[in-house]
Amino acid sequence: MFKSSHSPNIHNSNHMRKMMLQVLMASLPGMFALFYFFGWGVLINLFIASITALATEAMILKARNKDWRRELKDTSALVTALLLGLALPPFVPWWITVIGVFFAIAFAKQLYGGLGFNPFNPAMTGYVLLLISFPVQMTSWAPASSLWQGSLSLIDSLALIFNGQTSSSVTLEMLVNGFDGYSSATPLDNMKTQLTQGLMPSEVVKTSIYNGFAGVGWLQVNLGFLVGGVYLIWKRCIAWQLSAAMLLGLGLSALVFNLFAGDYYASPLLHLFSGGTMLAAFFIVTDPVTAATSVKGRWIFGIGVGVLTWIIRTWGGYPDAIAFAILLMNMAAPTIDHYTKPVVYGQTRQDK
Amino acid sequence: MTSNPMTQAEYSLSGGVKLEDNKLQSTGTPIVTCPTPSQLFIPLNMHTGADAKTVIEVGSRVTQYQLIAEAIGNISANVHSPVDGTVADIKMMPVVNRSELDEWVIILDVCADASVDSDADSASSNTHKPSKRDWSKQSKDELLDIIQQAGIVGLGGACFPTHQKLLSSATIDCHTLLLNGAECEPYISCDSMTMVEQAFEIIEGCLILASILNASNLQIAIEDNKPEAISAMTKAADAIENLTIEVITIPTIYPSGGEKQLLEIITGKQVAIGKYPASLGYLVQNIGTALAIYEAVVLDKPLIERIVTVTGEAVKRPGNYRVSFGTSIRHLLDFAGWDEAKTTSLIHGGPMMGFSLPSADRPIVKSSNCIIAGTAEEFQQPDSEHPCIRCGLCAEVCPASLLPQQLFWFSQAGELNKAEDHNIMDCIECGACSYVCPSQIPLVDYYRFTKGEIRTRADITDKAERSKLRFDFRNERLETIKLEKTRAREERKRLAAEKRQQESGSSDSTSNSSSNSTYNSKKDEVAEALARVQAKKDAKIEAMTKIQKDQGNADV
Repeated sequence: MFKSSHSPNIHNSNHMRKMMLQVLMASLPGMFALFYFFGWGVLINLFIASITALATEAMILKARNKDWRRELKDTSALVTALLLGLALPPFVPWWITVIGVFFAIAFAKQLYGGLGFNPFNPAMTGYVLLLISFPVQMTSWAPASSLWQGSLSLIDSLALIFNGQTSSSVTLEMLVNGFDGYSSATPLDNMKTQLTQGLMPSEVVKTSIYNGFAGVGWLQVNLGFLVGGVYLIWKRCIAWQLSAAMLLGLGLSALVFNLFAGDYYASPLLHLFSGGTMLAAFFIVTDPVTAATSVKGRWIFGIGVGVLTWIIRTWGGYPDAIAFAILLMNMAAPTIDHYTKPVVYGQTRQDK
Repeated sequence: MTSNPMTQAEYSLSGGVKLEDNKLQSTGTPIVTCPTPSQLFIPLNMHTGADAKTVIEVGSRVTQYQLIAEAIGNISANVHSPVDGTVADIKMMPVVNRSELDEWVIILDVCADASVDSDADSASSNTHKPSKRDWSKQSKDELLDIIQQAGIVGLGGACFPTHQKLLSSATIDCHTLLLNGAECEPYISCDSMTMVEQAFEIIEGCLILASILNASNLQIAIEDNKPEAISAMTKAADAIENLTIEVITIPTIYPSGGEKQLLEIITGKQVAIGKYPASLGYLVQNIGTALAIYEAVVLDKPLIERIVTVTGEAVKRPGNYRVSFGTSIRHLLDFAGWDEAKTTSLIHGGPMMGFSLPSADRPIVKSSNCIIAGTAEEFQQPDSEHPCIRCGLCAEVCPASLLPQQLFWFSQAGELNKAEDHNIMDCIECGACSYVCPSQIPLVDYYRFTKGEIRTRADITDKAERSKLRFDFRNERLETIKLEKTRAREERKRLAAEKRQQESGSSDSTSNSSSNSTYNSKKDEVAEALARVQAKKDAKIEAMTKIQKDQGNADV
């Protein structure tokens, strides 16, 4: 008796687990840049997020009577942890990370039926929950360490995250506010505040946190994720249309307004290379489960995310808008797919 | 002499995957004839369509080439005996099909000397070699008849009766005959080896086909991974005077050999949904079928054997073998030398569309283009299914431009309407989607199941419609009978009245005329009713034939 197999009897070497691992690997340059500029907090956040994600996923899979050992191996929980962990401010209290990741895995993913069934990107759902519930902590980005001539040791970072203050009683609030008199230090947030105070973008970027156009550290972080993204496209892990469309939507919106009213609107370069733009373009928008799937649909989806991001960044209440933009487009994805069904072989190109 | 152009295909197909060839293993040696075993197991159904009906009985002596089962209806094919022998039994037994359902099989005891004879003769096991027929004097109908009698079916895989395909194409204006030598499935090399060794015969088969169709253009499409076949066919095509046969090199991409996909590569056009390639003016025939037609028409030899690729890592002498239908796969593998203990997968057909066999005790049939005895390393157990992550890789490779992951959702949920709406019936089951699926979902299996469900549902609706029509017919028939009876009664009455009138001699003329007028008005009524019934009946018959026609189309 020989083995019974489904046709096709052969398969290429591609496997979901491999794709997920490639995503994890591709995040390394950006992750390293974040670590380099923002310190140990980045890695500690990722560690807390990973542990929480795996534990939550295992727990719920077990409760759902699934083979949790096998399903955990698809490493999709780690990808969610990675994306949310990278999006969090570096010294955010530990329980914020835990709540966000737990919500992302338990509510946004598993309650919808687990991997493949969730309509909303779990990491972004977790992020938005945190942003709305804990706005102070979530907008407390410590500035790049090079800007305050010093960095926290691993021990101090741990103390700050788990205990609220370092051994020398430095709190997160002090870190964020103590520098240069700015109340918030991310370039996007800062730009927004300055613009409301009547400054022109060209004046704002001359201040020290920008170092040119996109912000100290932020440019390198974005370049790091861009490199990883190119690797993913080369490995055919992600649909390049989604990334290209998002960058195009965001860049063009910013360009048009910047060209015609440069005194009021920030340059497209700031939008493209600051905040979470590249992380989103290559790691989050490209989540296949929650994006549109047809080629035309991917363009629409990506452009939608880009344009919405620019609109919310410019006129909305939150400094970074990507999470909202993605969730909004997640809602639209099924409809987009419905109206962008590809033409089937022989359907319209009929012979006369 | 016309110089024949060797051209490159201008277009490509949408989707498709690049696969590892794995053909070199079986192309190193020439085609060898597999000796006839002592018993043959010949299924009555080796084709698309109805089972052939046996014309012999248990115990009958049969000679080589003798008809042993004849086609029933148009979509069926004759079966001939490959050897001299005796019918040992006719019974249900396992054959080669996806469903592993038993079929009727004729078991032939082969005459001892016949098998010895074919051992000695390496080219072909003809015991009585006929002289070559000059087919140029034969009419189109005669040629079609020879092809039908010889039991020829499409040897590319579908096994659709060839004469039927030719008949339906010949009625439409087919300007081009396209020979399909793409052979896009990995491992299989039977067509390519046939082209290398029997190019002239294939070309002649091609000419016969062209004369049946009155096709003016002749094209042969071959994937660019078969340079020997391309040069052999080009050489043979060049030898034909006064006629251009174009050998077209097409890119090696799976599934270029699908009829509609091949046409897209050659013409850049797609065959419209629900239409046949003939709508583009093309008829596509497989290389092996052209050779079978040559043998039937020129050598008077029915289809009793085919070239089979025997390959896989468990086979010691992989290559191509000329094998009589009914030969057990075990016998063939023994001849090619196989390590049964090392074999974990036995595949009938190619690795993409072929199916696994649980046992080697199955006969070679008309569709057996390839037998793969694979080892565990060669055909690894696929990981069990993971959830679909909608990565869309399947949609990128689908040659029919479907949305495989949507079809998968609908299939899982049993949403037949939505699946149909997303054109699941246009899936050609090539398996490209499953091949690239990172979640290892056996997508094609889901589609096959759903397509089956949709067909079953259509059958049920169709049956209901038919019984309704039958019921209406019955009512009408009864009504007609009733009307006929009334008319007969009136007729009798009239005759009786006339008789009475004659008997009574000269009676009252006024009463006579009045009775006549009542009779006439009644007669008109009856005639009108009859006309109404007839009109209704005509409409029903029309509806019935339409349904039958639709179904006929769907079958093809």
